[in-house]
Amino acid sequence: MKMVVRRGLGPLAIAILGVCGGYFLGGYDAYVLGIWFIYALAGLGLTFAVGWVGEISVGHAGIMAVGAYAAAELANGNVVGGLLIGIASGLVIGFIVGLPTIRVRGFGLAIVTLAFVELVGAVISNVPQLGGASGIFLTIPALFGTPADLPMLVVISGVILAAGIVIAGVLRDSTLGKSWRAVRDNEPLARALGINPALMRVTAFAISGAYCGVAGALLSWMLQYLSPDSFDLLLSINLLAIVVIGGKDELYGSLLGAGLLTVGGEVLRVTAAVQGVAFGLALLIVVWLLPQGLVPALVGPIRRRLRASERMGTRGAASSNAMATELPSSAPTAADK
Amino acid sequence: MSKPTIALNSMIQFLAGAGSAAFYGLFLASLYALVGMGVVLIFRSTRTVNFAHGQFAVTGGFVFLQSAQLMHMPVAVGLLLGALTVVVLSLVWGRMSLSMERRGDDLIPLIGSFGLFLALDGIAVMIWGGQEPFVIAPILPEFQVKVAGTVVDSVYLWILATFLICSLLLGFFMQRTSVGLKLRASVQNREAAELIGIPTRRMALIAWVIGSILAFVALMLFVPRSYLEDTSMQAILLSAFAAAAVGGFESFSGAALGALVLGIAEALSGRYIASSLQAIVPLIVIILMIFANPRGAFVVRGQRQ
Repeated sequence: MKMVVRRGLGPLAIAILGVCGGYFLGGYDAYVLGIWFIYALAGLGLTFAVGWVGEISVGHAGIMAVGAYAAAELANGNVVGGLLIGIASGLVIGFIVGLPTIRVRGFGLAIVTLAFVELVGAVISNVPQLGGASGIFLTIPALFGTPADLPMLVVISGVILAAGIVIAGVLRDSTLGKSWRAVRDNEPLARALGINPALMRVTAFAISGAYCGVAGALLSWMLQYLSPDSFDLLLSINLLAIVVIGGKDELYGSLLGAGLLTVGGEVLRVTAAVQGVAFGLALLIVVWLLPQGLVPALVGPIRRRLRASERMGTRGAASSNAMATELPSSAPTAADK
Repeated sequence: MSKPTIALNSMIQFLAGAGSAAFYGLFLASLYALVGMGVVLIFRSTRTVNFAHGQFAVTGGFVFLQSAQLMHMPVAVGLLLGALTVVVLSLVWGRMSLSMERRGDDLIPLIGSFGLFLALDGIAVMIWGGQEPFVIAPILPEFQVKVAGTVVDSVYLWILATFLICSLLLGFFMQRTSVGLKLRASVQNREAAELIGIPTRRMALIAWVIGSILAFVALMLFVPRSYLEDTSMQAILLSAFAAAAVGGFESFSGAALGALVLGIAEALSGRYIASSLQAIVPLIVIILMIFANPRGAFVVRGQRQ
């Protein structure tokens, strides 16, 4: 029961925020909220790759592009169909983008994924059936016959993000998630335990791709317009920044990072260029001073206190279980360093 | 006109086309090699790749534009200020990368260089964006010569000459001077080099400055043929990565060879297959190089030992 509350509270809050925000906020504010959710969802996907198996990818905007175009071309304006197609195509493309990790990692993988996102852009620009470089306009999709307008899309994005966080949390604490992080932290040891590092990296990339595929489909409906420029290298780098600024090992890191990018940019009313400068500098400062990201820096003291009180036994028999769910990120790092 | 003449004419046309495509390929190759050699130099000294490498050069280019063209300073002063900007950027980021790299996590300087990319790109758009794409007046004299039946633009020749001179100078510097020797020593074995009193940190910074200046030189040479934008170096940097990957990021001659193959392939595919293919060639080369080069520098540091 405690576990359910712990896992469900944050996502429930996000879903409620989505419903309230979608229907009570004005048009543009609701739109910003929706973009926040979508970037957070894509960032959460990237967290699997960058955080949990520790590999840099700047190709995830390319995965979003494939998800968006596949949903637009195949789903026929059907929201449920589009979401499923986004998941499926993202899963496949994420798997393909993850395949090079068998051979290259580190900066080599960064270059390969960079080539991937450029390749996707170049291919879309040269296929007239996909609208080419000038892009295509989309009609409002339908959810079970009712048109999914902006408030509805914000609610859908919020609900999907909430579900995504629950699934990511469960996956992270599962045997699979522990194997991912074992491969990241100590590959020889993981191998000795019978974990296949290549398989772990590729599965993490495939799941990561599924998140980005859905995010791409949602983004295309929100913008009602699709072009290769919507999914360029800059979006990829922004996604990486979202994950790293928020905390690459965190469940809610991308939510914070995406919030700073989207809502922060709107509140301060700055141009895209100023936003780029601020976000780039923020990324520099975070990697320089707080390599673990903002979430651990903000809630770290609370977590440490909780852990200390649990050690004292004040919270009863469930403590060891709660610790496993609450402190999965700090436990391996503490042991590592 | 009889049939053989038509055949002959189309043959001549084809050859002339091939000639100009070959010169265009050489031009691209020199461009990629200049940037790629800088990438290799920085990689050899610091074991990291700077994704803001192109953005350094572009920022220098914009400083040149501001001083020499918008504020009408002498061209030499503009070049100096542009180069100074690049030097300062490479020194600051080189220092930061070095200390981050020595802290242990290889990914941190990489991610940081993406942050730098975002920031520099944003600054360029913030100050100079929203105006027309800027035309940079050529710095070196312009002319056209006829070589083997094809008219060759001076830009092509200048960049080819610059590449040849730069690679000779770089080779001389690395092989024959004492600073080059120290640089190579600190690349080969950092601990041993430090033990015999070589300042490896300073050596690495020298490599950063030279590498970044090479990219600035390449930008200033080709930009009169196109426009100066914040994205001017993006495609070139990707091709330079592909060229450097051919030599496993370790070898200058490998990077030059890669650049040559890539330049010719791009020019020929652009001319004879489809112009849109030109952009895809370096991407495919990068992906092929990984599978051809499983044990190059592409392999992560920990795995190699």
